[in-house]
Order: sequence, then structure tokens, then C-alpha cells
Amino acid sequence: MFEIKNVSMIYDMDSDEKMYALSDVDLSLPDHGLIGIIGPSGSGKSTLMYCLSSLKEPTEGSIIYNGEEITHLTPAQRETLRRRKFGFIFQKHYLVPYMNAFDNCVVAALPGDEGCAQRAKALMEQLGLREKEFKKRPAKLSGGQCQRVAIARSMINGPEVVFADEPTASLDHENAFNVMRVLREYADEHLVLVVTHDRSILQDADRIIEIWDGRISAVKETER
Amino acid sequence: MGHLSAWKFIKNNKKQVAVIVVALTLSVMGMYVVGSILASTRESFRPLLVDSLKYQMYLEVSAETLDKAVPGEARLYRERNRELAARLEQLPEVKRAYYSEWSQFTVHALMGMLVTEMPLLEPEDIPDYLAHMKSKLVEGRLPEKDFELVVDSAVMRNQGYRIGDKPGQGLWTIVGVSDGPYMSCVGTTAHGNNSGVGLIVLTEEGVDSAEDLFAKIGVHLTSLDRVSADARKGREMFQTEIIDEIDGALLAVLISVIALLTVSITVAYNSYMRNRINEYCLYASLGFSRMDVYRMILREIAILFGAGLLLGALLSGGIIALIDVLIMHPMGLIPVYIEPRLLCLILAAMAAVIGILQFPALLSVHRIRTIDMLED
Repeated sequence: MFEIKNVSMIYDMDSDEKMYALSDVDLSLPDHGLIGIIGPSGSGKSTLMYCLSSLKEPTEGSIIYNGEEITHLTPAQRETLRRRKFGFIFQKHYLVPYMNAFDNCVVAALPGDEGCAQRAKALMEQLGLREKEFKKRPAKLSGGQCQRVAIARSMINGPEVVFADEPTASLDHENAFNVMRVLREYADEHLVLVVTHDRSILQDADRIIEIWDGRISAVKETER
Repeated sequence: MGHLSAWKFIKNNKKQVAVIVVALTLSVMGMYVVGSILASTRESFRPLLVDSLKYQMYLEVSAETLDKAVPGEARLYRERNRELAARLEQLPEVKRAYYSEWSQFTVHALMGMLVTEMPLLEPEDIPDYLAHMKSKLVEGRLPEKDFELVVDSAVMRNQGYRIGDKPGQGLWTIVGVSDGPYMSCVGTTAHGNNSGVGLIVLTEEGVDSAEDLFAKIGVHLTSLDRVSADARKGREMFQTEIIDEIDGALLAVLISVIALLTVSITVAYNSYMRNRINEYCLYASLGFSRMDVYRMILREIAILFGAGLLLGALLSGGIIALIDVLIMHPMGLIPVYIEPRLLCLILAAMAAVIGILQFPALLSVHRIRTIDMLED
């Protein structure tokens, strides 16, 4: 699904001391499966995710998604790609504070999607949210509940790829396990990329990519 | 679903929305009510200055003009005027012409006042005058002797008169109330206590000026002849003293309200948009374009302004009705509920405010980044 060739991301391009967030990354990702990207803070794992999801444009190299070069798309093409093909779980939940959980979930729905309301409810229930919490605003939900709403939002359009940046960071052990179970199920038919520094949540991952100083230091296929 | 809904913000931020809608409602109401009161002043003075002068004129012909028009200096000034009046009555457009006195009466509006002419005629001429001005006696009696007045019902209400009252420092006595479209008042002679003595000409509609009328009998009025009131003069006075003054006042009110509204709405809305920048960034990250976000902002603004206009219009209607019942009707004034020009001005002013709001809106849209940039 993804072919990543010689991708580098350099910050402070104009300064004398260039800072490589990613350096010569070569990678191939399948069209489904749970892929963990692990590494310490500042290792470049989030940058890699942002480059793959078209939020960032790499300085060098090429990213091919489903046979199509997506490295240098126009802003409108990037938006369409993100809207129709990708789902996002960010480090913070970024819920809209004045919308309730349900509205936050369906805000990302595609035009004319009549079934999104039912799907949103099913997703939120699957993630352990109770119906009475659907009508609550983020301020009335715990951090974990907010994150689960954000996870439901990321899946509302059934995206081909879900990019998850530290999806369990604000969850307790039980909820973290529950969320990873949902992502695991989703990964049976879609690609789920989970960026984390917590190796324990990746025990069901199909592959773990380790990043160190912007370089891929190891790729481990796991037996399931 | 599928597009960024403006209702969600409006539905879930009632306090913030209320601040803006209330500001808009009060501004619309302020502008419309003040404009309506000014328009009421205009419409209340129109019958006096424009409509009634289509049927009558007042002028003092100078000795020089009389010398040319009616030679014979030995005769009295009064006789020569009466002769001139008789010549005028030969014209088909002249119904009656009198050499007589006239006085003035005052009408107050909510903003401003108007002093206008009232003929002082012989008692036997008064029924003709009232009939000519389409006015009917509705209460009391017609004047029978000197120093008596018939006053239009609207003027009675306006000045708080009752039959038997003695206006003009006790000089006259009101003996009757008439009702007609031009607020016409008429009295009998006051023996020199007048504001003019000369020719009072009752005409058919269409006589534009004393100058034109006199030209038809071969008399050319000059600057020495004092035309106190005729259709052209009334129309000009209505334009300069009423419409132009009202337009100036209305413009000053509109500019003040709009300036205040623009500043307050822009500050409030800018603050709301700043607080929502993370929300906009989220939308951009999820794949909504800046244009989608901008359209959502525009829809929100449109809904808020629509609500403000609607509530402002409803509130204005209520307040004007209240002013009508409590003040205008008792004062004999004409209320103006619907003033298309004022509505257009307010809509244009609102459009201008919406236009100004585009600056903070576009600035907010320009500030939109994707969430990766916020997290970097």
C-alpha cells in the first residue's frame, strides 16, 4: 500500500546545521495489518506518520500510496486524500469543546453519509463508551473517554489507513487494552499505523518498526 | 453531515451567540425606530407642506406690482388687491381668491416642529374653504364672529386643544373641529393680529406656483412680491427643511450605530474565532479545506445577522406600535411602520459590517495549520 523511498525530512533547511527529523527512510507497508512505529521522543516517528498521511511534505524522497505518488500533491488533493482515505488519532484528542461526543464523532463524516450516525454509535459503544456519554461535551468526559471519541471519529468513514499517534497515552490499562483490541480488529481489513514509545501496547502488532534519530533501526515481523 | 455545520456552534454556544444577536437586534432596532420616528415627522409634515399647498397659495403683492397690474394709485390698496383677486377667479384653475389676513399654527412632531399658514376669512367663506380642502366639521360649530377658529382634529390632538380653548395668547377661541386630509385650520379675522395680509388663492391641483398663475393674467411677480406659500415653495421647503434635514440626522444615527456595532461585533467575533483556532486546525487535519472552514464561518455570520435582523425588525415593529399608540396617535402624527429606503439602508449597513467581518474571518482562516504543526 505504501512504498517509501529515500524519504528525508529536514527542519531548518536554511540554517547551517540542518536537523534531520527523518533520514533516507525506505519502507514498504502492506494494505492491512497493525504496524507499530516505536522509538524514543524526538526519534522521528511522528514525523514519519505525518509524512505518510500527507500532513507534512518530505524534503526529499518519494511516498507512493496505492501506486500513486503522493509526495507532491496539491493542498486540495492532500485534503481529499486525508478526508476520504485516512483516519487520524492525534496525541491530544482535539475534540471540539462545544460539541457533544456524538457530534464530535460524526464531524468528520463524508458528505451524504446517511449511515454515519448509526456507525458512530456502534463505534463508540465498541470503544466502551456508554449511551449516556454520547451527549456529553468533552469537558464532562474523562481524558480516556475523550480519546476514545477521537478514535471513533478516526474510523467514522471506514478509512483505508488509520494513523494513530500515541492513541493510548491518556488511557488506563484496561481502556488502553480495549482500544488496542478495536484497532487490532480494524487492522484485519485495513492498515493501522500506531506511533508509540510504549512497546507493551504493540504485542498484537503484525510488524514493529523501530526508529532512532530519524533512521529505521529495525523492522520486526511478529508471529500471530 | 459531511459539511461543517454552522448550527453546531450556534446551538452549543448560546451565551456567545446571544451577545452578538442582542447587539445586532438592538442596533437594528435603534436604527429602525429612530428612522421610523424621523420618517413619521416627514409624513406628518407632508400634508401641511406639500399636499395642502397643491390647493392654496398665500402671497403679498407689492405696491410696484399692483401699480403695473391694476393702475390707479388713488384707490385703496385693498380694493386693488380685490380687483386682482377677481381677475384671478376668471381663470379655470382658480376656485376662489380672497384678499384677506392669514395667521399661522404649529404642529409638533416627535422630532421637530412646523409652523404653517391658516387663512382668516369672512364667516360666510369658511364653508367653501373647508369644502375646497376636503375637510368636514365634525364637532362644534363654524366661526360666526371675529377671533374664532375651526381646527383640524389632528392639530387639536397634536396641540392638546379642546373646543373652547383660547390659543394665540388668548386671542382666538376654538369653536369647531374639522377633519380632513391636509390638517387644514381656518379662522375669522383677528383685526391686525396676523402674520400676513394679501391674496389667498384656492386653486385646482396642478398649479405649481404663484408666479405661473399670475403670469396667466399678465401679472409678472418680482422679488418684491412676497410669496408666503405655494406648491413649489412648499415642495422646496419640504425638501430642504424636512427631507434633507432628516436624511442628515438619519445618516448621523446610522453611522454612529454602525461604527459602534462594527467595533463591538468585530472584537467579539474575532475573539471567538481566536478561541476556535484549534478547532479549525482539526478540520484542516481531517481533510476539510480552508474554504470549507471559511464557508462555515460565513454561514455562522449569516445566521447571526439573519437572526439579529429578524428580531430587530420584530422588536422595531412592536416599539413603533407602542410609540404610535402612546404618542403618535394622541399627537395626531402619522406613524411609519414600513420605510423601504430605511430598510435598504440598514441592510446595506449590515452588509458593510459583514464585509468588515471578513477581515478577522480571513485572518483566522489564514492562521489555520494542520495539527502536526501545532504539536511540533
